[in-house]
Amino acid sequence: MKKLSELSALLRGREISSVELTRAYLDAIGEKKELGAYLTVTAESALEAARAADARYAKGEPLSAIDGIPCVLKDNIVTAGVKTSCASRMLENYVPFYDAFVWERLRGAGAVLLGKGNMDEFAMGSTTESSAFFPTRNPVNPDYVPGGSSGGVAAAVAAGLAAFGLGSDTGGSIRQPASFCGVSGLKPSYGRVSRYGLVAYGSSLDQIGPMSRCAEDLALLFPLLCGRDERDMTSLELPPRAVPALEDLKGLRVGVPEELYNNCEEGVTEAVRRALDTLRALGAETVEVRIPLLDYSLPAYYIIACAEAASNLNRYDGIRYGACAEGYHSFAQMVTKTRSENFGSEVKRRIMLGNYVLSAGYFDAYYRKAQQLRAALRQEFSRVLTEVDLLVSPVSPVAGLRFGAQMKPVEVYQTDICTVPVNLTGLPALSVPCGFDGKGLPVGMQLIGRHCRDEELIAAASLFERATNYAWVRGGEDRV
Amino acid sequence: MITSEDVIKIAKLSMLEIGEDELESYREELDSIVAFADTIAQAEIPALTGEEDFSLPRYREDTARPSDTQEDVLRNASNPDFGYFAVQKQG
Repeated sequence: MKKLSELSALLRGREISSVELTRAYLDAIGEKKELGAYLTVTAESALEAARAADARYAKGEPLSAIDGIPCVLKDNIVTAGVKTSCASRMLENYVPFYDAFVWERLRGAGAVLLGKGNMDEFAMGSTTESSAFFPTRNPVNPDYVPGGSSGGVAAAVAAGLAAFGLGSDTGGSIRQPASFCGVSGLKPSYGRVSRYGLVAYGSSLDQIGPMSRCAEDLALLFPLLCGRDERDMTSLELPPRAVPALEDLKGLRVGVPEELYNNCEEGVTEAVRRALDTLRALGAETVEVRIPLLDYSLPAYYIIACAEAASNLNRYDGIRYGACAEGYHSFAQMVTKTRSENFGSEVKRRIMLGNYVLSAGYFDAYYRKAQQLRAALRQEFSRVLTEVDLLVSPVSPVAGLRFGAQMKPVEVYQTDICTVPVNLTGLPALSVPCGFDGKGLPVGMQLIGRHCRDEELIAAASLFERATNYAWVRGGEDRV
Repeated sequence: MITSEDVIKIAKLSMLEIGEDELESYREELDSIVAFADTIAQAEIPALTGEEDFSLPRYREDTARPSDTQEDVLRNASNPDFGYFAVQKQG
């Protein structure tokens, strides 16, 4: 497998055509169907887009560095004319008539869409087992889940079934599957990437971001995705900055928040501690920092995320789009029947929890308190990030979760401990492979940066990657 | 402590119907999730300094512009009729 810059050079040099590249990925998708990475494969339109890219290369007029390069989008990113199901029965037959901002951007840059990646239903989960259609397996070890909710995209990128992909991250849904599958993933600063066309889950937390074989690829993808879009009122007027090419990390102060290392498996902590040694060897100074409120970030996150989900998912009423039940006697019964028959149990649980914390008598104790905690947590992160340039932690307290483990909901929620604070604070964070645990499962290191300093995180992760090479140690076959 | 009555009430608020056979499992799960959420009650929240550097959302100019077409908007409707979303007559 190659970096995007290498694929780009091959295409530019006409050593390979986009059609050949696209066919190779489509063949690989067919051969590895058992991974369950894709919900929809768009072979015909992909080859058509590839032929158009080849024509541009023939004229010496490629649209961008990713022109003709095949990718996968998580199935909650809407694509005109291509089914966007969110891995839910509710949207099983939903074919949008418009493109999400991010796909407008990538399509405009010549990217080839191979299909839509599997996910936890409505992005609610950490395993991709709650897809209403079929689960996804981890290509590193099929006895383990790929993580979630962007598990299909992570598995596709790791197994060589796409050159790169886009996921969405509400509480870790890009970073955790990237960590579990041994790929890189960026959760951008809130507001840097438009959410227009992302099926809403927790709107104040959701962010779309790139997932790739290596951190260096993130530097190429991120500028294509960010910038102001007036259709998302939280989108920031902040053009991309160049990602600096670093030779070392001299002068960089790295904070190590102990709270995010508690309760981690030994193999995970050891891998991240070794990564900290590497950062020090590259010239960084590491400093222990304390953020006591982190201990409350997980319940605060679930309260806020579920409250927003309850509100956002009210739109599924069986009328304007999505499934509609049959055999009802009143309008209310139609809506209730539609929702009861077509939402999965995790989605129902989160909607009910959301309505519980928003209901009279409970609002102050849960929702208001969680919002206060969120504001205080932002303040604590802002304070710590004036003392250090970035924070380093594990992405997940575990290197992997066994497929079909039948964990209780709260047990699964607790594995999101390291990632949710970043969504509550709106800060940028990425996952980069930093080694393996004792079972040979990849471990991701999380870098958390100052607001809107996404480019600095990518630069530091790219240097770490060059120094360690974990991104290339394992994974699917070298097919492309 | 979440009771079965609580689950029925929250489900109704959520426009969801929980079958008799699922009631106890939803009750148990929601009870453990709410117990987990209850831990925030112990949190002591420090005073806010109001010095956050997060930008506020921006509104666009309120000017007329082309909207989605009626045909597109009705494309995924369960029961489009004469250019409308048809629903069952009430009452």
